[in-house]
Amino acid sequence: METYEYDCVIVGGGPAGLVTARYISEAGFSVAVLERDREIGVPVLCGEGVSRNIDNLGVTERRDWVENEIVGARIFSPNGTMVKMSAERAGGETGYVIDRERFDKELARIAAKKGADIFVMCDAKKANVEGGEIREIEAKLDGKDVKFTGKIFVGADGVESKVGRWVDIDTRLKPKDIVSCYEYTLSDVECDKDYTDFFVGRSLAPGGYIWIFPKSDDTANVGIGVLASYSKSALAKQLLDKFIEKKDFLRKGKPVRKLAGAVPVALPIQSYRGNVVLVGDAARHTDPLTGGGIIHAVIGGRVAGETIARALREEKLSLLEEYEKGWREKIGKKLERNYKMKELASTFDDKTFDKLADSVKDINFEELSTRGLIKALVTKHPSLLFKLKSLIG
Amino acid sequence: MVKPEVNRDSCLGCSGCFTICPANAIEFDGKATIIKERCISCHTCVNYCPVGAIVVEGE
Repeated sequence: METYEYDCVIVGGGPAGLVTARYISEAGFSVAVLERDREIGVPVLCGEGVSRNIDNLGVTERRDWVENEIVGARIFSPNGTMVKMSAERAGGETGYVIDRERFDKELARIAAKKGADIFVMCDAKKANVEGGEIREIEAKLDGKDVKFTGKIFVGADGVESKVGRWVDIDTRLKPKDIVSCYEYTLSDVECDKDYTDFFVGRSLAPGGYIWIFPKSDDTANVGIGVLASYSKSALAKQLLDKFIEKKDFLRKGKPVRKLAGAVPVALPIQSYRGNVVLVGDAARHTDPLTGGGIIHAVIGGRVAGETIARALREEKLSLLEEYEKGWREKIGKKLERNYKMKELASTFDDKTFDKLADSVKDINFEELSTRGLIKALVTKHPSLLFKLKSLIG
Repeated sequence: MVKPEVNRDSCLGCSGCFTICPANAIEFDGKATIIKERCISCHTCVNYCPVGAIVVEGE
């Protein structure tokens, strides 16, 4: 069996894996990225919304992956009350609608240029584990059995993270911590390309939301996420079809793409064990409130890459704990706060969403503060304060 | 309860059923397959599937 030897082997060629690879190779170590599919960035499993913060992370050079620049986000409550936010405030997924295929290929191009080897059509099947550490990975490359050996291994293998399971990190998710998603890319629709729209409501999208992310004025990603604890067979698709049927500007749209996705909305799990590191969705770094994963995958990927390079340089696996510290410092608080908010919001009925929207619809979100929010709630719907008390203070 | 099956023609490969299965009874290679010997018939995967690609015979 052919054997490939590397300092580090990364399973998964999405943003988390590719950014991790880039920073390891930049530090002068050999790294392989194993991608199951035959092409980086394909198939897309994503709503393709990303915050403008992506520009500040310095991971891309070309800009051809930006399909549409967004001015702001509009959130609609069940009775149609609209809350408008500028892109800076809305955070999460507002800023750009991107072409994920091009975005991932740009990350791959840079990783490759820095020296990383990328293997597509390379399915990591199993690991040989000794004393809690992976020694080698057995994979099918172009259908042939091969082995990859390394000193450190990275699970950048998305929500299903098999790599985590290989070293006994429980990567299963409970129904309340995973969202069942379905999306169309619709062409021949009429949409306002300046805004990403979000529709919330218990009956509309239980425990999640419906989104419209415009790629241009006639093409948009229109999708839905339903919290799995509220899901029934095919519910995501049925609710999305019902929503589209009711909207004149979407009904005549023609699907040019269909996709399904599983989004973790969980608290982060143990992100390293032995000589294994988990990044991105595999580490549950996805924002539990918005379901956005790209920014955190990139931030975590960089911390992982730099930490792994240090561990290789000093030949000390114990340094990997610095990875956990590093990402917690950057995104840990936000993940915990937004997990709480998700837990709370998933209990809201339609009336609560309506009252909440009515309370904040006239606030200038450039100036929104916790105090301002409380003031607005006290003035308009004091009963909401009780519901939101776990978030305040 | 009857053990569900994946209709691989309609499976879009999201991997959610693999991740949610409490019994580790699903294999995922880009699409899902249920391993009948391990399935505990809880139907968590059936309810999860966004497109209804996991079906229970007779339902």
